[in-house]
Amino acid sequence: MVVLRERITRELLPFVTRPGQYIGGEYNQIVKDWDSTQLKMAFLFPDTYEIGMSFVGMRILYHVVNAQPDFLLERSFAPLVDMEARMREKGIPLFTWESGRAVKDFDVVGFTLQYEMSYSNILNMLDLAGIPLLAKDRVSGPLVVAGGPGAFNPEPVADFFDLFMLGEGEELLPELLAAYEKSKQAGESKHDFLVKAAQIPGVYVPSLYQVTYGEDGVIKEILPLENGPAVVYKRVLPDMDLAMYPDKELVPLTQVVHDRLVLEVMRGCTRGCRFCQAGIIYRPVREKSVDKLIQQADALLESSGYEEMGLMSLSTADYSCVNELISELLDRYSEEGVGVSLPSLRVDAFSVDLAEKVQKVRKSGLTFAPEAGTQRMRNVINKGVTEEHVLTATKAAFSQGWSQIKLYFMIGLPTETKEDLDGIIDLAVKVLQNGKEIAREKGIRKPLKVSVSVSSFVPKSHTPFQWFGQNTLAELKEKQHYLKEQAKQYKNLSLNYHQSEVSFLEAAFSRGDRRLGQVLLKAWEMGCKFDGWTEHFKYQTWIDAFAACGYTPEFFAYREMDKDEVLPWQHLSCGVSQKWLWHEWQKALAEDLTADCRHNPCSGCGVCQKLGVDNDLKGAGR
Amino acid sequence: MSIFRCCYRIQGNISFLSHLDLLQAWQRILRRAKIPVSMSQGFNPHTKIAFGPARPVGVESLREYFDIELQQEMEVADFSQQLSLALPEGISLEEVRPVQVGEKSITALIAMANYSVWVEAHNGMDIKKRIVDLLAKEEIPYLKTSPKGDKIVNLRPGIFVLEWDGEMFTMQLLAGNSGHVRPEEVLSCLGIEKEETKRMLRTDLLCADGARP
Repeated sequence: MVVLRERITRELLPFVTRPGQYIGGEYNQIVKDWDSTQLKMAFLFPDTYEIGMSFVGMRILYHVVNAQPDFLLERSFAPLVDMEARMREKGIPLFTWESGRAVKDFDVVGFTLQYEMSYSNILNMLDLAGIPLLAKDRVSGPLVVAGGPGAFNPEPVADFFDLFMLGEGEELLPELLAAYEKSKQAGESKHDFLVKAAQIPGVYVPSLYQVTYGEDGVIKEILPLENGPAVVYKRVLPDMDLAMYPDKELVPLTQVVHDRLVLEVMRGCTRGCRFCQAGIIYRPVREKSVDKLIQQADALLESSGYEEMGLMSLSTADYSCVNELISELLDRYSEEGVGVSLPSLRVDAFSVDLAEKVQKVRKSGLTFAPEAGTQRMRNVINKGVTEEHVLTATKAAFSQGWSQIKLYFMIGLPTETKEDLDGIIDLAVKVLQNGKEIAREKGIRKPLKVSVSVSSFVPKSHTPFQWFGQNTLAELKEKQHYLKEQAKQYKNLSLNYHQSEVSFLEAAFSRGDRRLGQVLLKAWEMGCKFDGWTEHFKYQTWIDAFAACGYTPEFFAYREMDKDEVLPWQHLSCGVSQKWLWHEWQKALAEDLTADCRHNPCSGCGVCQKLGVDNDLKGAGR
Repeated sequence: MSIFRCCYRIQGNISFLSHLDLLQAWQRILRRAKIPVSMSQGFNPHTKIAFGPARPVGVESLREYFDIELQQEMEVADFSQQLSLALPEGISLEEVRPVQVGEKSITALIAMANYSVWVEAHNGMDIKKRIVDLLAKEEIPYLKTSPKGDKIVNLRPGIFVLEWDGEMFTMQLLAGNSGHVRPEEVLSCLGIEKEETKRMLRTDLLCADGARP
């Protein structure tokens, strides 16, 4: 095995761009003894090192698994195209960053499903590792597993995995590894192990479910076999203060996307935005206490040397002790030059005050996400934000010295009309005019800029909008074009949008079923990988791959689904009931709002009752 | 205010870090070690550290340097001990000494670098003769490529020593403020491919008079 590591050093690293990303060796890296450790797992992130190292989930699981004396976890990432070519040319298989061992020598290989457009990379990495792609072809060799948000509709990748883990992995992953270790020792077959594993709460074994289809191509039935549970529920931690969290962070040696210490302040969000999958699948809200967070921050800063700390969650301004926490962190660390950052802001003046508080010196840009241009549309999506919120927040930002405001919107939302598109431009123009007025009053010369970023809405599983058929490519392009033309009329207003072809395929995979496994395999064979990267995305190849398999992405992305239709993810649950989601969908169409259950009565989504948990707020909130 | 001159070794895969990445890594090492580094004044304060010449990516080194200004007095022994505990695998401290008032900074001092380079065995290729031929030239034009644009430079004045003992090259090459010649460039002029290089090691960084800084 040492031989492989030497070959990597000699034959690969001197010949590739930015070799520093492949060397591991980060401070606080954990390299356990191979021979004396019972069970070895490789964690594969289906994108590059610089992206993967910014992913907190991996850092948590790295800590959780390596803390167990009998297990070890090592990391691997997708090599860039030049590195991959070199590896294939030299016959060097995918390896782990810690010990430079072949991934296929591990007992368990785990991926995280973060984004549909990274699925082709999963196939590519399995292939580079020399592991057969299809689960049914793997009699021996590593168990291939996955978790992450994508595990809530993993059907498009079901053919390639032995099992999926739903929900939070802090407890589930060690349980699964222990079960596998026991099974290995007993010499059980893979099939026997999988039948048993399916009984572990949160584990979904796709091969134990038979899916049949009607003549119209819609799913007829999803039938559990060999005692597979009718519905697999996610795992959830009731108290985040008790959850394992790393006390030592891996400190990357090369630049990564989010190069800072990450403090997760809470999990879950109950604002109930109807387009948002994270807002459903991570329910309920569970906060950490300020004491716990300070204790974690102390340990992490001490052992890492980071100069910046990001307060992470789905909506940090909603953390009930956010003011107290930030004051305390600044008191403790600002003298040492440690900065605090907020990854996302809520659209209100309170958030701007928070940003002001943590901003050290330079005030460049602030980003807000009104998501839609009119009040009607914002009611449909249950984004509890009014025009007044947007204007107050942006005015506050300009007055406090920010000169660039970025506004995020979506197009192609259900019930959208031309008025809603005009509303996007109108709102941005109002923001800009307010800014100009403030600049005039204050005598600020710095040029103002408002940039509008428009993304195409992708309906996601487990949301109230899961039944909605996506706008067609032609519709989305027309809307983009219309907005671009409107925006042109204003100086200091810029507008950009994402490639709608990507959103189209994303929708197909987000709502797709296991028949898409063939398409994915075909597309990968035809050269698709790094589909999330504009420079690598091959739209036509994808369309050809669909055609070659006798399917169309339109069927999966554009179809409005019936109330009674069997959804591909019907047997997988985050605890929120389909009934409640349908009710929310109807309320959306009626432009009716649903209040955040943190500060209002329960809206009946069902997660707390089903999973025996509750919202856990550590302070009174705002 | 005191300035320390630190000399460190970098070996193994960590040598594949770029110079810029290593500068960033040092910032974090110093913070972990709780070294009270002086900060510059102004809107964007930065630590007062001056590094020696960039090390080519993938070249290991026995002696790399930086000068560091401290906010408060510190014993060299304490400084070395604290720093050593915070180092990632592959980097180790060789030497720390206080810089006297009036001494030039490390950036101004370094003028050349010594290298040992191991290559695959060459059967039937007369490397010694190639060296003699190369050094006999008055000009060795070489195309340097960079993101800023390509240009042809003359390597000859920057090659001070070039020897071959049958297994290993010994080189002394220009390094520092007045320019660089990289061992890889010299090998290429001798007709030796990158694929044939086994290991490159920077053994020393020297002042113009041949002394260590």
